[in-house]
Amino acid sequence: MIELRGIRKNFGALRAVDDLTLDIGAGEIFGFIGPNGAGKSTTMRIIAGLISPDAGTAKVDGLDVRTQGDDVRRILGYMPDFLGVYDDLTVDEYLQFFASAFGLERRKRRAVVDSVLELTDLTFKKHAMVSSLSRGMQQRLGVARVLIHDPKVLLLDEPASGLDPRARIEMRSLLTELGRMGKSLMVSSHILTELAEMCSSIGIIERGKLLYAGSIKDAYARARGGERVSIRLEDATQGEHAATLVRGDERVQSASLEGDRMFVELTPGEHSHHFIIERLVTGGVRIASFTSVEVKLEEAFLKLTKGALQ
Amino acid sequence: MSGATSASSMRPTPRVIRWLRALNPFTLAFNALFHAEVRSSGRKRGTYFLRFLAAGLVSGAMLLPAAGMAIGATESSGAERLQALQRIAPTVSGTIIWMTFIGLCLAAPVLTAPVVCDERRMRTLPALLTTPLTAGQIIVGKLAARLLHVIIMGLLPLPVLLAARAFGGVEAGVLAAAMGVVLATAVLAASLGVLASTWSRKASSASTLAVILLFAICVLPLLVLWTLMIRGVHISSGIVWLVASPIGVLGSFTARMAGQVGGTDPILIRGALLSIAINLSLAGIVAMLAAASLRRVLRAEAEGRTLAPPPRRRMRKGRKQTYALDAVVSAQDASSGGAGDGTGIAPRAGKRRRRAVRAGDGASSRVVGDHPVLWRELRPRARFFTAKRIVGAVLLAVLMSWITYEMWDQREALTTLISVVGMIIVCIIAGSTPAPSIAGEREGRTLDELLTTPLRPWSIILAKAAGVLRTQWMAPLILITYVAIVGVFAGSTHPVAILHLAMIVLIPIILLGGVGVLVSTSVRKASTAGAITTLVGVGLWAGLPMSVGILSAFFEAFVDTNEWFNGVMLINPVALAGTAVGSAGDDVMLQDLTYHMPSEAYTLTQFTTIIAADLAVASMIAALCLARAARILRPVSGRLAH
Repeated sequence: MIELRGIRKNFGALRAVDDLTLDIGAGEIFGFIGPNGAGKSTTMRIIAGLISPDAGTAKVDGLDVRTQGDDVRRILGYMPDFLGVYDDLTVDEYLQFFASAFGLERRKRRAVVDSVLELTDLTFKKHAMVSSLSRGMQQRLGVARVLIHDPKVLLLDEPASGLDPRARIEMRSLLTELGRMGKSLMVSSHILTELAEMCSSIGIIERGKLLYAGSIKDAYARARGGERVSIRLEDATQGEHAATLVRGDERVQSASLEGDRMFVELTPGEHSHHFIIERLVTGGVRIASFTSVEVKLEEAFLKLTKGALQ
Repeated sequence: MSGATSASSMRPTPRVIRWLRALNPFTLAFNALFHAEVRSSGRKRGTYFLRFLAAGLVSGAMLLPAAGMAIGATESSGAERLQALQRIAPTVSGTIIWMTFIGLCLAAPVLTAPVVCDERRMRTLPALLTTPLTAGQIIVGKLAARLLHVIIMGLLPLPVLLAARAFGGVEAGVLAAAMGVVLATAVLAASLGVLASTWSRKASSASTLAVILLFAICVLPLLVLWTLMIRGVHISSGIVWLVASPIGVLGSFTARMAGQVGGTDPILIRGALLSIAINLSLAGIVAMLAAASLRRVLRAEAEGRTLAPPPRRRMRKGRKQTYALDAVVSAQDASSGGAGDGTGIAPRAGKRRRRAVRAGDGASSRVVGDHPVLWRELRPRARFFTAKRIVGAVLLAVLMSWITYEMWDQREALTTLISVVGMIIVCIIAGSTPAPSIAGEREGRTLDELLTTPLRPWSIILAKAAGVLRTQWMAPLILITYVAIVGVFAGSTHPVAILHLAMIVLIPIILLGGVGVLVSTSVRKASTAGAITTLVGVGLWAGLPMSVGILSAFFEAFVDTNEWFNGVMLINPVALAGTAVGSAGDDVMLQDLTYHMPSEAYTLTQFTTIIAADLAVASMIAALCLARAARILRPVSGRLAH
């Protein structure tokens, strides 16, 4: 749905985006991760047709954003990182305004506005002034605005920034719902846990360079190398003995001890864990608990970006 | 014992001591805010651009005589050129002083108007609350930092003026006194900008309001003086009114420089000193008012309300209008009742608060038209009759009625004067109104949202231009109504003057409307756009006649320079308005009406054609500017290939 090929953008001496190539498929929720100033917003503004790239092509649903900008705008909804609202309008007028701007027929507008208000849970604020809404409600109104013309693609730049925990959860469930509706979403954030829960794929950008783009599963696999297992021993004095037992297997890369816990790192590839238990039990080691260690997106991010731009 | 000593050392400082400390000029002005503002403006390119522009304008005024000498070199001897230079030196000095005066009167409010508006827009006002700075320190600190730039710009022409003395310019004392008046007026203008900033939501509106207030302060004493003179009061008794107006005192200086009016220097110098004292005192009072106003704003922010004028809206029929302040009053605030906090600021309790709460959900929504930007620009204002407007209208009506009553026998001259003053106000408003059209969207961060819709740039620009025209009806209506009542119905002015006046007011509105939208599309801040557009108007309708005045001194021996001046005045709406009303006596038949411009007299048909041609050219320039603005908006919006 979104194709970027060799996108480059400079602001004076600063290279904001450097040879960025990216594909986002239909119905995908793509998390765009990177520190502040990494080039996320610039990339999104290029896709939205707000700025022109110095080099490269950007296409949305096969339409070039530079030459077919008007057509792209009809299938694309863009929510900027700093949401500006017309505070002299009511919520209903604000949405009608954009419905009219997108050329929706007047008789259909009412129903469309009602439905996006329903979806974003703002119906009870329909006739409130936009300026009277809380930050979280204004963010939801921003999402309602980008949905008003039922776009295929949504570009949401930091949609959860500045929201309290409850509003974040609401925003996350709203975006997940939009994903279920078959829309392609490109969501930027630096709150990785949020993206981990709703995104099907991620891209990691730093200093304008795309360091990784692909599925979250693949990112984890790359980040962790091999799987990790945590074993709590009933008797901490058996630690050294237990470590020696598991190190004897070729599928084990390393085994380390931390108090009554032993961490076993497996070699890359798919391995079942039962052999570890068998070895320990056979060797007389008493196991209190056995868990597979999950790699978090933060860890994946750190590992994938570590040293990449040194 | 030691505990008692410790307790006594912890005793709070008496309030009087704290006040005295707060009044220390160093603590008041050169506080942390002052240093922060000076540092931040030192990093901005705009600061240096402004200084460069000021220096460029002064150099331009000096280059005119040089150009005049160079051009006239073939037709005159060296001695003649030197004589011409000596003759022109006082005029050049006077022109530079007036240019500095006009420039600073416009630049000072533009520099100070964003002081509170920007803090409000960036939502940084609550951060100021957490500092130990008082409202007075905030106002004076920010004002002092901006005044630094104003004074630097004001002093830029001084070396040039002193250099002009070598060719027989103006005496140093007179020069110093005149520059003192200019700088004192600039300080007053800057203070007015800060005061307006505490009242307005937008910096551009604040700077316009400040310029209009300054204009009123400059003109009102002269009107009073004129009234006194007509009633037979001797000029020496009215000298205070003359010097109370910076225009009056600078006019006296200019007349003295040009050798047109006699008078001893000590009187002029004393007048200038008195004028400086009056203006600085007024500036101090205005700054105090601004501090009091800011204190209210800060308190309101702390309570989660906003004291800025409310956005435009319309209530459902049958409902009460909501109170201006506060869309953001929480239900919790409403239920708390709002006890007094001893600050002297009345809490928004009871009826007002209940109304405020209703504002959140009780409004009805209107149906948006098929051209949304045009709909937003042209939709009717909800609360037209606000308290401020009613008080303003009553004050204006009382003032105008008093002046008209006092000068009823001179009503022909009065309508001419009011036409000129009214047209200057129309020009000031026309220069600042288009400023927020696109720059305001950019500042409000709504431009990106607008540009990601399929709306065409030209439809956005045209809608904005329509909005600019729509918001400027008030001043022309008041002007035309006054001339109609006092001039036409009272039988001193011919009815055709109304038609002419209606056409003339459109010239600055259309021209500066088009230019303003273009500038607003090109620059980042609305206040900058307002300043540039106003500068275009000032350059065209004040700078051009001044330049022609300087140049004509070199060429008057060879050509009729009055024709040049006449030509410049034919495109000047202020001169046209004065002529249209002043020349159209009611006792003359329509076909006999004659319009006297500086060197020519025109028939009714000729004069009407001139105005129509001016209007056509203004419309054409405006159309070109709007087309250019639409083109500028296009690449930004990514519409590159269409």
